[in-house]
Amino acid sequence: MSLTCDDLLLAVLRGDELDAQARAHRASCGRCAALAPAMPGVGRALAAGGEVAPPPDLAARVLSAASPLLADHARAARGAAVARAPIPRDALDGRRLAVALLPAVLLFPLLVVADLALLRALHGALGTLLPHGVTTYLVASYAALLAALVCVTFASIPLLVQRQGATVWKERHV
Amino acid sequence: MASVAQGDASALRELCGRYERPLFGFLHRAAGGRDTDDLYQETWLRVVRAAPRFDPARRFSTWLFQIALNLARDLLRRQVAEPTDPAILDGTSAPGPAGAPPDDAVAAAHDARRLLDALPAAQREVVVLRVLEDLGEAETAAILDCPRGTVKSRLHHALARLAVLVRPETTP
Repeated sequence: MSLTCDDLLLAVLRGDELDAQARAHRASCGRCAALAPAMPGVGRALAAGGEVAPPPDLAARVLSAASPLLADHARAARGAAVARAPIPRDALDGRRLAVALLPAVLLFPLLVVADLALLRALHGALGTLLPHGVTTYLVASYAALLAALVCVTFASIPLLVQRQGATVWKERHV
Repeated sequence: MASVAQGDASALRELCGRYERPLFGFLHRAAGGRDTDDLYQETWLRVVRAAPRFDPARRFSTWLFQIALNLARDLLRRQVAEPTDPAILDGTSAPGPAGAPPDDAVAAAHDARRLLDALPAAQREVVVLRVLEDLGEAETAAILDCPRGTVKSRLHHALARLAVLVRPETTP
C-alpha cells in the first residue's frame, strides 16, 4: 500500500516509529520534509488539551431525561407486538356472546310474525291490482329477500361480538 | 440500538457507558468547550428519539458522531455573534479564579483550544476526528458527509497551518 504525505505526517504527529518506506518518503518528499519537523510539536500541543472527563452524574442525567422517551418506545413496541399477535381463544367471552344473542333470539318470533303479516298485506294489496301469478312472484321474491336479510343479520352477531372481544383484549394488553 | 428502540433503559445505559468519554471529548473539542454537558445530553436524547428509525446497516458510531457534530455546529452558529474575550483568543491569559495564576494543565488545554480555534471550522472538524479521535478517513468522511478526497485536502491544509502555528522542534 502506498504511503501518502498525510499518513506520514500523522504518524510523525502521533510519535509513531517510521518504517523504511516512511523514512524514504520523508527524505524524497519536499512537502513532508518541510512539515514533518513541526508535527511532534503539533501533536504535543493538541494532546496537551488532555482527556476531558465528563461529570460523574452526567450519565444519570441523560438516563433520567431519556426515560419518558424510552417509556414511549416501550409502549409503542408493546402495542405493535399485541397488534401482530393472534388473539387467544379465551379472549372471546362466551357470556358476552350469549348476552348479545339473547335479545336477538327472543325477538326472532316477533320478527317472523311481523314479516308474515307484512307479506300477507302486500299480497292482498297487490292482488287487487295485478294478476295472481305476478303478485305471487313479487311477494315470494320479497319474502326471499327478507329471509336473506334476517340470516345475514343473525349470522353477523357472533362475528361482531368476536371483534369487540378482540378490541377489548388488545386495549387491556397495550 | 434495537433494544433502545424497544424502550430498554439498560441498553441505553450500556451505549452511554461505551461512548461516554469519546463522545464527550469530541463535543468538547468540536464546540470549543462550550455547553458540552447540554450538547452531550441532547445528543443522546436525539439518539433515543430516532432509535426506531435507525438503520442497522449503518455504523452506530458514525451516526452518533454525525448527530453530535450537527449539534455542535448549530451551537457555534448560534453563538457566533457572542463577544469573546480577546485576551483568551490571544492566549495572553487563561481563565481561572480571579487573580490566581492558571496552572499548567489549564494553560496547556487553553493552548490546544487556541490552536484548534485558529483553524477554519471545516479543517478543525477533520483534525478533531482524524487526529484527536483517531478515526479512519472513511468514517471521518461519512460523519462529515463529504468525499474522502475532501477529508484529505482539509487535513492537508490543517496540518500545514498547524505547523506554522507551532514552533518546529528542529530546524530542517
